[in-house]
Amino acid sequence: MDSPMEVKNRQLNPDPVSCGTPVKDVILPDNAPKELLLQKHADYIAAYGNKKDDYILTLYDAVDEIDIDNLVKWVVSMQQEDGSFYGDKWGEVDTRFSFCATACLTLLGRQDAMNVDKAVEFVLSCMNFDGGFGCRPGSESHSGQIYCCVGFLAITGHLHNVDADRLGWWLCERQLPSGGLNGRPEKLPDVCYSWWVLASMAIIGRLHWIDKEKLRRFILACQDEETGGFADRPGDMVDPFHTLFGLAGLSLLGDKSVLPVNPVYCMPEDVIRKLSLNNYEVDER
Amino acid sequence: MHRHGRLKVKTTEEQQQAKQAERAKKLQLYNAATSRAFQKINPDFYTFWNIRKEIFLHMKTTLSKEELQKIFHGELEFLEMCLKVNPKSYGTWHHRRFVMDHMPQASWTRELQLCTLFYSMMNGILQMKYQVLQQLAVSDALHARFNTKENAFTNMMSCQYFVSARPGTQNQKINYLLVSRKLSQVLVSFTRSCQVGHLEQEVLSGRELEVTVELQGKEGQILCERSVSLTTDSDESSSQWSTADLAVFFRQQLSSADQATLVHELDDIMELQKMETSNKWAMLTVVLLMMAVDSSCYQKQILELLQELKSLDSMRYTYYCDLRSRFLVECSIKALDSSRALNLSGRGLTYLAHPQLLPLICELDLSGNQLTETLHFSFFQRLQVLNLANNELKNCQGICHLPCLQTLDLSVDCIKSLQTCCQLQHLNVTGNPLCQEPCTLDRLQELLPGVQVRVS
Repeated sequence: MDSPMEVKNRQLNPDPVSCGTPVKDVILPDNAPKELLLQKHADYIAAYGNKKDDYILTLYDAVDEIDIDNLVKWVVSMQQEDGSFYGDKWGEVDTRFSFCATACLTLLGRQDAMNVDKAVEFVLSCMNFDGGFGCRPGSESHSGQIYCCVGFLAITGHLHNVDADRLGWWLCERQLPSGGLNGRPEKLPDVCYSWWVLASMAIIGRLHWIDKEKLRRFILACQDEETGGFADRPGDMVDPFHTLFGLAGLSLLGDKSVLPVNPVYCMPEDVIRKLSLNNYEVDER
Repeated sequence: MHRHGRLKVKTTEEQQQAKQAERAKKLQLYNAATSRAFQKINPDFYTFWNIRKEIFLHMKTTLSKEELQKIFHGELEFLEMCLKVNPKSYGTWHHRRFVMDHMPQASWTRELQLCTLFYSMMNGILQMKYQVLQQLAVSDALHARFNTKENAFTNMMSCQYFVSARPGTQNQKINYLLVSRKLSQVLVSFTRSCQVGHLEQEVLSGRELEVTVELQGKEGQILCERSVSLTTDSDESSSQWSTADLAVFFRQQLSSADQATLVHELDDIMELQKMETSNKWAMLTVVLLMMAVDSSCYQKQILELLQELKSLDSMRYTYYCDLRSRFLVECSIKALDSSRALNLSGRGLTYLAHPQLLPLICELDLSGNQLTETLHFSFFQRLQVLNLANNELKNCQGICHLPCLQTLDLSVDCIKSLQTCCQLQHLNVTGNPLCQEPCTLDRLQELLPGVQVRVS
């Protein structure tokens, strides 16, 4: 359900350029933050710092702590005959599980345990005429799934199957007059797409097709000056999910006060470099 | 753990009531929390759905069919409420499917009605998607669009649809194959990027005098074959794709429709564009269709429209710049004659498209453009003269391993990689920040002995 703030911020865009279908967007409030509140975010993130998981273990270079063989066995058991992956024992199939499984196995140095060719075949069968990807064959293109599929193809060395110009255009059309990015046509902008969309564009070498300064202003406007953290849209409640993607998005935009982030794994570049996992080519311009 | 000697205290009426009240309160809290969590905040909470699934599986072993049916029915109603909040929640739909699969009597007709209802709630986007799935011909889609929604044509999806190539229609083709005894080199370039791995083996296993490269498709059929024979008195032999083939390739990256269909679409859309002169979707569709139909005859109009798009839709300014650059390079490649020299100076190019199509080029003038990188310049294996003066280069990464390069006019200060271009004779770096350094000339000559360097 919409928060009152969201409804207030929402407007139908009168912009004649976009006529045909109305564009949903927000207006950035005049008093929204314009600078990056790093210390506030550090405090906010610290509150979640005691939850350790796989991701944290990789960051801390401590994957030895887990039972790798058992984990690999379980992840591989989720792969189906058509190459797709279940998310869990309940059997939902989605390209995002293909990405999670492959990223996880690759971070552990065990990509060879899965059937890569079959997995690639399944992900490519989810490619649409617009160059994007959906969660299953024939499903509508969605930025979240595009990130998963493009990231998956980068990890497995099959990026050449992506029509970068076609997909890059679809992705840059996600930028709305407020500067924010949405996940599909006719949807509201959301800070998390500053990651899904932007990382996809970085991987296929088309990051320069969006208006970086406008996006930066949008992301910064979604900060909470009181508590730290980022919300999906200006004035909404903050959460760790949007805080990560807000900061990671700023990093991709070249903000020097944040460490460089790897667009495929959404982890610091130096961690990925240490693992020697950069086997894909990015044409940065 | 067992506990011994604990006295059982009989529950009084009062205590029981208090306990019941407490339970009711907890239940209320649980219900309030779950309904809040699922409906108000986010019905996409997988752990909650998974716990519910476990509970249902347990109930299946303990409850009667009638009871089960009732409980599952209640769950379906609950799910409907969740879907009203977020009709596209994957977790919710997947849980619904679980319920349908496990309830004693599932009404699939009712389910179909519900799907139809949600389907109609979504707007035209989904309809378009399904049309695409059915792989209707382009003109059918145009027709359907006009009938269903007046004025709805000019949005993003339709723009894409008119000029879309269906995935998988573009095949990689071998553009160029060269065998050189002099440089002990076999060079193969493809029209699109592809995974070389197993191809490499085939190329390298070619015998000394006859090299044939086959490119096989998924089902093993041969998509393309190129052969080159090297006679004992020649040093070099090559085979190249014709310009007519390249024209087809350029068109195919825009659309897989045939020429007649494209011409027909272009007529229709130009008509519409006249009615909505400042509509960017219509404008871009016209541009892409013109490029696909006949890029050289529409060149002037295409460039004018792109100019207009740049100011109309400034957020995607760089996209239009790149599209324009690609278009100009394609026009030049198609018009390339046998002189193997390409002049692309002062065209406002923001990048150099299709370097893989120019492995034969000997002279390349790219001066006075807005190039920022040279990443793929090592494709130019026969390049002797390269002019990159007055661009916006930050480094010259990629200008390496060019065995024939003799003259380079460069406006960057990243020189070291040039050591790998062993034929280099002239280097012009005037106007670079490095020229203000006192010993630049000495250092350059030290780095590149035998090269004539100009710093001022």
